[in-house]
Amino acid sequence: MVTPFDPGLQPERTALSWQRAATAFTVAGLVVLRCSAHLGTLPVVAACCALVLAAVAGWTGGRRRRAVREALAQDRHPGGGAALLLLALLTAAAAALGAVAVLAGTSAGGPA
Amino acid sequence: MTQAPARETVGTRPPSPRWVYAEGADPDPRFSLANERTFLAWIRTTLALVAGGVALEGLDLAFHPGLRAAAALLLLAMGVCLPFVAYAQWGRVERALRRAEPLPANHTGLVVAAGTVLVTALLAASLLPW
Repeated sequence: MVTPFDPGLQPERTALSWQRAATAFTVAGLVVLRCSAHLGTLPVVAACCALVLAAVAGWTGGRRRRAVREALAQDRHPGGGAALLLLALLTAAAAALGAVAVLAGTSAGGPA
Repeated sequence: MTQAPARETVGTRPPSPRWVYAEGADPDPRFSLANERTFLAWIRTTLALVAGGVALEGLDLAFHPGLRAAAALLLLAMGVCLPFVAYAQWGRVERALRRAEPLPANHTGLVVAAGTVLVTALLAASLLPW
């Protein structure tokens, strides 16, 4: 039996929050794929890149969950700056890929 | 509980980033974890804006094409900027927690609200008979 770090279950809520972020990332990638697939090759490539970034985000969340648990078990502060910066970079890159998909679709004549 | 085998580097690695961890004392981990969840909530907000921007342009909706493209690109531009704003805000809050200072104000919500209103205005304008 594992004794929780605190009755408010802060590490558990944080781990679930990472999971929701990774899920939202995957959904955003699928939206890019679904909504721009008919616009050409480049949007499909951009969508697939976004889905790879989503997988990296999920992997980062899993690593972060273990790091937090390990730190709290050893009575250390969980830190976290590097993991958060990585997720920020992944998200900004996904937004840029979405812009590439939209611009490629628009310049290709696209739906307009 | 079973103790995970500690890696050699754990505890000796300098905490990153320096501008956050250089000063002050480690705060209550619960506060830091709450700060982390706030950052993650901004990331999810950003991803929703990105999905909205792409869907707007990709679903071939009956808006004026130019205004629709402008609205989509505005959403995606917010998507590129917001993660860095959220990370900077996370760092400022974490630094304030370490220094036991009052938490800094956050005006990001106002900017995102203004951007969302602008997107809505562009789409509303594109429904007018041009």
